[in-house]
Amino acid sequence: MKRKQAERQQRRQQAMRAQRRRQIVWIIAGVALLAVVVAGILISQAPKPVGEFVTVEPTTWPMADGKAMGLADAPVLIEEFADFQCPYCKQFHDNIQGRIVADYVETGKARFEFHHFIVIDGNVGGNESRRAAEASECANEQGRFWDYFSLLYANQGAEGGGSYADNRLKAFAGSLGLDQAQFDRCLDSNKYAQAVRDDEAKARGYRLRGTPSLIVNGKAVANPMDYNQVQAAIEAALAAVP
Amino acid sequence: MEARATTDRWLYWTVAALSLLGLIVAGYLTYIKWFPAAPFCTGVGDCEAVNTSIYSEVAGIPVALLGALAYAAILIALLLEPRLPLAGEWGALFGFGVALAGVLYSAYLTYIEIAVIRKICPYCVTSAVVITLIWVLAGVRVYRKWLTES
Repeated sequence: MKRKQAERQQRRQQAMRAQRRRQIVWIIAGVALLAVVVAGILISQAPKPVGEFVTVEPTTWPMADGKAMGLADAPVLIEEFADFQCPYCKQFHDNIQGRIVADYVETGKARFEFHHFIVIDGNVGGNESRRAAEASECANEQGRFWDYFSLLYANQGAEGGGSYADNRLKAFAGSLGLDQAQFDRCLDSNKYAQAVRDDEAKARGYRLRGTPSLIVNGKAVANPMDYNQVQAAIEAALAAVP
Repeated sequence: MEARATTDRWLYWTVAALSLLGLIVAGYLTYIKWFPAAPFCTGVGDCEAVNTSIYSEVAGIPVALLGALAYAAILIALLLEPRLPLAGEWGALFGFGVALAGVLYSAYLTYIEIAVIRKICPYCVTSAVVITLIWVLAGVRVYRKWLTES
C-alpha cells in the first residue's frame, strides 16, 4: 500500500516538474519574442525620418534653361558630367563652375550644360546617386534644377551614408518651395530613370571614366579641377570659332 | 554544489563586467554624438562617419544612448539580484531578453555599417561583440537557473 502511494507521489511530482519545465520554456520563448519585437520596432524606425539638412537660398541663375545655363546659340558648349555623391564634383561646383559661369556664360560666350554620370553607386553600393539624379530631374520639371542642384551639393555626406535617401530628397524639394505632391509623385514613379540613363549613355559615348568630366565643344578637359586648363580649353574653342 | 555556486558567481561577475564595459563604450559613443569635437574618435577606424550618419539616431534618440541604457538596465538588474527577491527571480531572464534585443539590433547596425555606410566604427563593433557575449552568458545563466533546477 505504502509503496503504491510513494510511486503515485513520485509520478505526481514528475508530472509537476515537467509541467513547470514547459511553463519555463514558454516564458523564455515569450521573453525572446518580446526582444525580437523590440528590435524589430527599432529597426523599422531607422533611419530617422529626414534628419537635419542645410537649406540654400533660391538664387537667380544666368540664362537658366532647364539643366543648362547660357545662350542656346553660344559659340562654345561646355558639358559637365557629374555625380551628386562625388566629392570632386562638389569641389568643382564650389570652386570652378561659378568662375566659368561668370567669365563665359554670363558674357554670352558659352553655354553650360549639366549631365548625369552615375559612378559612386557602383563603387559603394546603393542607389543614392541615381535617386539624387532623378530627383534633380523632378526639380527640373518644376523649373528649379539649378537650385536643387546646389542644395544637393550643400548636403553631400558620406558616400552611401543616406544623405540622399528618398525621404531627404523629398524634404529638399519642400525646402525650396516646390510643389511637394508633384515632386513626390515624380520621384516615386521613377519618371526620369530613362533620362538619367540617356545622360549616362552620352557619357559613355565620350568614353568618360570618372566624374567630374568636362567636355568643351566635344573635347574632354584633362583636369576640370584646374581652372587654368578649363580656361585654356574654352579660349581655344572660342579661337576656333569662325 | 560548491562547484555550481562558483560557476554561477563567475557568470554573474563576468556579465556584470561586460555590462560595465558596454556601458562605458556606449556612453562614450553617446558623448561624441553630443559633442562631436571629442578627440579620441579620430584615428581609429571611422566612427565619426558612422556616428554622424542618419542611421545613428532613432526618432531623434542616438542609438548609442539606447545601447547605454540597455547596458545600464542589465547591470542594475544584476546588482539588484542578491538584494531584491523579484530581481533574484527574474533578473537573469530580464538580462537575457534585453541582450537578445541588443544583439539583433546590433546585427542590423553592423550590417548598415558594412553594407550601407561602408565604414566601420570600432567602438560600435566592440559594443556588438560585448552584447553578444552578454547574451550568450545570460542564456547560460537562464539555462542553469531555470532548466537545470531539480
